[in-house]
Amino acid sequence: MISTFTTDFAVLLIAATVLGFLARKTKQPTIVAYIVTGLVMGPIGFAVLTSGHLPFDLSSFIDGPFVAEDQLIEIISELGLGFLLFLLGMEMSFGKVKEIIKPVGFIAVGQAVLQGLASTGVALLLGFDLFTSLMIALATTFGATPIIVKVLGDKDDLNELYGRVDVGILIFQDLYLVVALAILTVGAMSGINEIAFQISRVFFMMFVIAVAAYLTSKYVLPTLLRFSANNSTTLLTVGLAWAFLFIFASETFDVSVEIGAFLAGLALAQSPYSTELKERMEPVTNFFIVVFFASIGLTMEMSSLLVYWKEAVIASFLLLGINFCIVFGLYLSQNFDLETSFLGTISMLQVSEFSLVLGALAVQQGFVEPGILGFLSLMAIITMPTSTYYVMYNRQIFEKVRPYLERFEPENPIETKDIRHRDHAVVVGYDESTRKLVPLLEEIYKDVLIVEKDPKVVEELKETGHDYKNTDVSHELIYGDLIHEEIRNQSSLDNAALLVSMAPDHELNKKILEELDCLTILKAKNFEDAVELYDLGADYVIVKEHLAGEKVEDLLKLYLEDRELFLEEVETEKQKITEASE
Amino acid sequence: MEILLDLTVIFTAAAVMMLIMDRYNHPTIPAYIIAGLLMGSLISIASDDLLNLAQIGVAFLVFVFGLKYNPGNLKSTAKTTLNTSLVQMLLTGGLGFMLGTLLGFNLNESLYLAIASALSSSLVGLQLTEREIHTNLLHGRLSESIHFVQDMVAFGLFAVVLSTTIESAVNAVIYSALILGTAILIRDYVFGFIADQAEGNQELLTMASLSLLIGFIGLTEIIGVSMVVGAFAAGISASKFPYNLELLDTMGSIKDFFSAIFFVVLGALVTLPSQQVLATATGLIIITAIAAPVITYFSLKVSGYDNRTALLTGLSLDQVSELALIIAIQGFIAGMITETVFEAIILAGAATMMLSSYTKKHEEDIYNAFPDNREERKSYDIEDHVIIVGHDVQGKKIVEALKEKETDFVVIDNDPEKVSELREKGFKAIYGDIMDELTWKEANHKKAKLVVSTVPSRKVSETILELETPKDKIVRAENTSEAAEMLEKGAIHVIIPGIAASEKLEEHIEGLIKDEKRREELRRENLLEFKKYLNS
Repeated sequence: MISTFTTDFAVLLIAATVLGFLARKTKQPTIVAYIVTGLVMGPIGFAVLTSGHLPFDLSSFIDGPFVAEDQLIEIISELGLGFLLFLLGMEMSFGKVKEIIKPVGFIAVGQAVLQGLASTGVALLLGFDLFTSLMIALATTFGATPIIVKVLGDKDDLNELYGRVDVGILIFQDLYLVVALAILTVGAMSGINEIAFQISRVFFMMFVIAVAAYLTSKYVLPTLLRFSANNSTTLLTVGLAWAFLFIFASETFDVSVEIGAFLAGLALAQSPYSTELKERMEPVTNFFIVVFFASIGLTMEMSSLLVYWKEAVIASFLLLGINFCIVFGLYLSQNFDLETSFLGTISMLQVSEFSLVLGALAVQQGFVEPGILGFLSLMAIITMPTSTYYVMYNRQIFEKVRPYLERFEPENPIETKDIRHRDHAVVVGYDESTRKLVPLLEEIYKDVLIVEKDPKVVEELKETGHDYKNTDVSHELIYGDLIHEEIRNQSSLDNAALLVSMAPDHELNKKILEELDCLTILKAKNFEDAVELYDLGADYVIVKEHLAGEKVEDLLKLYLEDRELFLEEVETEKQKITEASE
Repeated sequence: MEILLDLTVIFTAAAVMMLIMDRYNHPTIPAYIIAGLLMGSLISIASDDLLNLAQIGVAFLVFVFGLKYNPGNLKSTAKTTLNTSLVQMLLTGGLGFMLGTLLGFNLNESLYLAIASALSSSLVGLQLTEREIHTNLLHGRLSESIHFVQDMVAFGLFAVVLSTTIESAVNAVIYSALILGTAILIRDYVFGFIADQAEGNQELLTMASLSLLIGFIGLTEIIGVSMVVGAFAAGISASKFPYNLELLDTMGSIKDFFSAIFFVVLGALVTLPSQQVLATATGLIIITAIAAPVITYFSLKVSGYDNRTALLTGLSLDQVSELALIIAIQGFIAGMITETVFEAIILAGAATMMLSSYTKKHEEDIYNAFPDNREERKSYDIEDHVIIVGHDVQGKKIVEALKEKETDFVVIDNDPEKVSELREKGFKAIYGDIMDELTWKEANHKKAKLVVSTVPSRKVSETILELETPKDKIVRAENTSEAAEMLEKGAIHVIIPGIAASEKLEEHIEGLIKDEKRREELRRENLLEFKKYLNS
């Protein structure tokens, strides 16, 4: 009765989960676990999932997406990659980087050129031919955006100066990744003329799609998203439709689907609704991407993985050293202080998972032999875990090596404003109850952050200028639902001094109380929930009807005592209501 | 390549339909189905991959159902309406079966029609009555409870519906029970441990529950029970607080992705309907949209609820359930029902889900059109009293104020339990419908000096303002523009709970932030009072 799809999928998922937990225990990024899943379950390991059993042996992978016979798992893997790029595009918000855009740009470009040269050199030294060396250089010169963002995010360092610089560099590198993808999709050509023609064709198509993305992001998307954001499911569906349209267009124009997905994401990046959409897209992408990374391992024969193992080990450590010097030097040349330079540098030395994506594509297009993918995979498997460890202890390492580096300390290091929220008040839900509180909280805390999930209110607040930062009071607006981890991180709940939440979501409130130790004012739907929240340590629990009831009780007593006085009392309120409704 | 085109069409059509439906406050599911109906010719439904993706949609849909399942509420929620629900399901199911037999379908197919008639959609129904449930109105609570009972029955049906013999049905029930038992054991003893190992990592938690999902589905495939049972069991096994919240978030997104495919494909499976399909669908629509609400109305009336509550609850049940759609497609794939029955159920499903949002919008008009015959009762012999409409939290506060000031009062409420409780305590209370003039006569409104309503319904506020006496009226509104209208119509004061609460909160907030003693004090006061309400 049991279908092969279920068994295959079950084996894959359960193995990935177990290894994922192991990775967590050893503080490793989950991506490593997923690649290893493929290796362990594929022909190299237990061969539970072999090419006969599973639809994607190496040949089907080389033949490219959407051609094998039974392809469900492959579709999922291919979509995962598309979604990953879509998410990456959405991450491209320049807000945090604006202030330091010049030095960041310099480092990014310098790093691409110098590291490209270095990798080509090392590859040549190891005995690869020139073309292959160039391909290896192309595939290895950029950082692992998802891993770096994840690790720094876990350390809560994304808003540190070095974190911001790194993220900025990664944004530049992502652009460069898209160009690399474009070049690789051209495919193996005979004559130089044909190559030139194909490259210019791809770039032209990319340009067309990019223009379409830019124009829509200016004229279509703001309205479209505002209408969609009323309903979180609609927002997700519209986002998915958007991604699919671009993916489909690039497939039709014969440009790589990843580029289409990336540009689709880029068009959404500047919208206030992108955080919420990202948060909804992420689980879908994660689910799909597991299959993609596992499939890399699954497609590999022992021979192609290990054919260049010595070279991979040497290259990994050699490039780690050389790249450190390059990036560190570039950082210092831009007058970043010693600590920022050091921390920023060591965070981005590993081989990226996108190296594997490019490698797989290069193999598929016939540019390089399958062994090169094995070579790149090994480098990833070596550098990713190593780098995670030293990034985790980056400050301790820095203290150790500081004495030796001190002579490089620049004289006038760059200073930037601290953009983190600290001891701020977070207000969730901007309704008639909190409207009046905000000015008061501003006075007390100076830094008030409003989280709101109703797009109408968000637009209204933006129009009335309620999203500003001046020297005295900072007042920021986040669109989204506190239920999402990302939104909680963005509002720096850990550092908040006060949380006032008008969202009567009991489960969420319980979770908040479990995680936070700041002053919490929460709202409950009923008394039962309210008592439980108090028991869990809430400082004040609002039951709207009860609080309103107290007010009504006051008023009614007044009415019974003295009707005239009551009428006087409510007269002012009457006027306010008439004014507000006009 | 083909599938990419399909997915692009599916999501684009779904997005467009959803944007349109959102504008008119229609629920989501029919948006998908209609997108499928319209785009059917563009999608290659024959593709196995697409059908497989749609099946994954079912798995996630049901998984999330299981995830939301809360055993704490089970008894109290189900108890209120268990009898009503069962009677209603038996009767409407019976009508569905009769329809099948009349139209010449065989036993199996008639049974499927019975199922489609008996179950109403909790996803749609609860999406539409969200506000009523949120504001804790009686008919909101009742409809939540009935939906809950129906869903449980639906999952019971999943276990047996594919069995062809009695023996296999019995086996299926036993196996399903065992699987559910295992799921509960995992939830209580294993899942917490697994989740702890994830150390708060959302991705791993999601992976773990995905593994559970595929594991349970594999198990049901081996045993030969419907995979829906497995997916539901998996959802239950992961429904442990506080992890279920996080999972609802992440798995909810994956569910939205795949269930969009599922429902669109469902719509696309319907070809140009034949006459027989249309006739069957019409029959089903009449049963679910008219007969089901009417039956619920009468059975609630028999249980002692008032006209209005009974009718509004009934109206929230006037659509075909998404679970019935899943049962139908399973039956269709297994070859137990013909295309005709399958298409009729899908069409009736989409149509009734759409209709449902219209009946919701016009429920007051429907209510007004409903005849009511109630015998006249004697008026209370009091004067200069206050009439309180609605004995909710605010109503109770008002009662306290009146007791303190020793003023006479009468309470009107539409919940029979609340009224008898009040009477037991020796207060004057009337059970009845605010729209009904007789109720007001009973409250002797001509001699009252003030009426205060705390019921969060615009209709109620408006009806009260239309009364000639008493002259002083305080009603409730949800926002300032509504309040301004009420003032225009002659209210001396309008309670806007959000604003009233915020004024009180404003009084408290500075003390809360700056004064630790005051914070403690407020906390103690509140706790005491809340507990008092809970025990009363």
